[in-house]
Amino acid sequence: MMTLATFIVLAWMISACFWMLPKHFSFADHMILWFANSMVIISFHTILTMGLGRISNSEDNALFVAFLLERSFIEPMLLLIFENIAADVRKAVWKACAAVGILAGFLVLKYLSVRLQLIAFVKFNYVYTAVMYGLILSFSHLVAYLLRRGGTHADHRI
Amino acid sequence: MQIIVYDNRFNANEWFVCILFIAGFAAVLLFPKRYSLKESLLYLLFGMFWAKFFDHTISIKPFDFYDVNDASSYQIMDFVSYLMFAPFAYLFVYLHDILRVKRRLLPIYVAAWSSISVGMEYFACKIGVYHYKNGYNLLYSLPLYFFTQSTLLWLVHRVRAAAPHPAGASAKKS
Repeated sequence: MMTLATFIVLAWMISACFWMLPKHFSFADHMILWFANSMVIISFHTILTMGLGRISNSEDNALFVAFLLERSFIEPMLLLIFENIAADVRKAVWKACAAVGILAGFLVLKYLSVRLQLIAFVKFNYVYTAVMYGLILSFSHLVAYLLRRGGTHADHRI
Repeated sequence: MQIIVYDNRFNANEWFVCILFIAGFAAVLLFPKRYSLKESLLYLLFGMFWAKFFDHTISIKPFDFYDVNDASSYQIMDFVSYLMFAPFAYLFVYLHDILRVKRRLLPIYVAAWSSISVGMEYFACKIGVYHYKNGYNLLYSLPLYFFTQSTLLWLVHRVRAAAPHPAGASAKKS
C-alpha cells in the first residue's frame, strides 16, 4: 500500500504542477495530446511486456493500480507539462532544457517503479528507457507542433 | 510467459475487424461534414484510446480477463481492432447531433448505444475476436460502455462549452 500511496501523492503533485502552469493549448488540444500520448505510452508498455517480454509488471493488485496510475496518468501528464513549458519559452535552449528535465523526470519515475517493484527489467535497462522516452517525447512534440500549426485552421472539415 | 493460440488463419474474426474498420471510416469520410478537423480527430482518438486502455488494463495480468483475436500475445490485428472503435465514437456524437437528442433523453441514448455495443461484442465473441477467460462474461462489458459513452457526451459538451462550435450552423448549411 505504501507504493500505491507514493504514486497517488506523485500524481497529485504532477496535477498541481499542471494546474499552475500557464496553458498554451485549448481544452480540445489538451485532450488530443492526452489521448495520442497515452496510446503511444500504453503501446510501448504492452510491446515491451507482452510482446517482447523485456519488462514484467507486478501481479499484485495494489501495485497494479500504482502501475496504471503511472502509465495512464502521471506519464501523459508529464508530457502535457512539457508541451506547455515548450510553448511558453521562446529560445530553443530553454526548450531543450525542459526536454532534458522531463526526460530526467521519466527516468526517476522508472527508477521508483523498479525500486518499488511495480515493474522489473528482464532484458531492459535505463539507457533503453531513456531512448524510449526520448522517442515518446519527440512524438508528443510533433503532435503538439501540428496542433499549434493547425490552430488557426480549425475549420478544415473532414 | 505462456502464449495461447486460438487459430492461425485469416478467417472470420479478421474479416469482421477489417470490414468494420473500412465501413466505419468510410462512413466518417462520406457522411456530410459537421465538425472541424480537430474536433473529428478528438472523437476518433477518444474511441481508440478507451478501447486500447481497457484492453491493456483488464486483459493483462493480474486480471487477464480476455484475449483479442488469434493469440494471447500482441499482434498487428489487435492494433487494427483498436482502430475499429474510432469511427464508432465519431458516429455516436454525429448521430447525437443529427437527432438533436434532448438532455433528459441522453440516458436512453447511451443505453441504446450500449445495448448495440454489447450485441456487437456478442457477435465478435462468437466469431473469435474476443476470448473470455477467468470468469469474465459479456455483461461485465456493459458498465464499461456506459462509462465510456457517458464520458464522451461529457467531453462533447465540455469541448463545445470551452469553444462554442458552429456545428448546428454547419448542419443547416449542409
